Amino acid sequence: MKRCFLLLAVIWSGQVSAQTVFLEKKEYTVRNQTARVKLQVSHSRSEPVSLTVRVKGPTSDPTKAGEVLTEGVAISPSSFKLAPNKMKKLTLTLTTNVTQKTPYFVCALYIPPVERKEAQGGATSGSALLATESCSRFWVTP
Amino acid sequence: MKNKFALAAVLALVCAPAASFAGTSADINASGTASSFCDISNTGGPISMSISANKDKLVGTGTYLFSANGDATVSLSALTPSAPQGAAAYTESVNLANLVSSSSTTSAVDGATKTGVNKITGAITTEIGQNNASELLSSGAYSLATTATCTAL
Repeated sequence: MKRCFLLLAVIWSGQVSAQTVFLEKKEYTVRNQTARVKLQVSHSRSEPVSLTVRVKGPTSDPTKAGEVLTEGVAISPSSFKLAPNKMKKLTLTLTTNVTQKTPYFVCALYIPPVERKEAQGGATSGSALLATESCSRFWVTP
Repeated sequence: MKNKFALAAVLALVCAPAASFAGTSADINASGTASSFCDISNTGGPISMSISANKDKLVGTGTYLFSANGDATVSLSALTPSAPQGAAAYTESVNLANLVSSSSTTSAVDGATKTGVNKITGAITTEIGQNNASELLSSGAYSLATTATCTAL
């Protein structure tokens, strides 16, 4: 019976395969127009996968992320291959001149490999590609 | 001499427990912070779509797992479809059961905020359906791409 439970636990844990972002803090103070955000990224897929970390800016709604920021953001490295269940420590440097407490969002994106299927003899077929992204909100204060 | 050994033995017995009791109290303080997180994954692998019996749509199914240890939202980015050249008009949709559903190719769609701790498994349904007078889907290969994003608040 105990063995069955253990087997079920292993099977269940194998299904948790998403990437996750862990922030050291929820709030960061800007010094010299720069906020330094410490974070860790992990995933629990069965094999090493490539992940991309990116930052999204604020919108008028503090619960919604805006556009991906391409300027004023430095993450080293921002794309990397990560083994399962390993924590990758990263530091994000955000240059901003916020005048009030402002939400930002840091995200880890996983794009699965494309499985290309050719239509056989004019057959109608299709495939759907679902990329997944996990984001965490943090606040930047002047 | 025998008396001295006996006295030493008695002293050792009496003193030893006193020594072992000295300094036995210890304060243990443990503290930690659990980061808020969410994650979402397509646990069913690649989704292939096949034509329906009515020949009017391609349908695919998969499964997702969503988990969060606090308030979180899930959204779908604008859908990116592709179809055979010259295909008759069609529509597209992606549905993550109980989380979010979209048929928009122009903007992202947000689901309702999930509050508290959640671990949800559910079905993913993808569909490309005809939208023309003949009510038929043109032959050929179609694809549909989107990104499901969860945000821990």
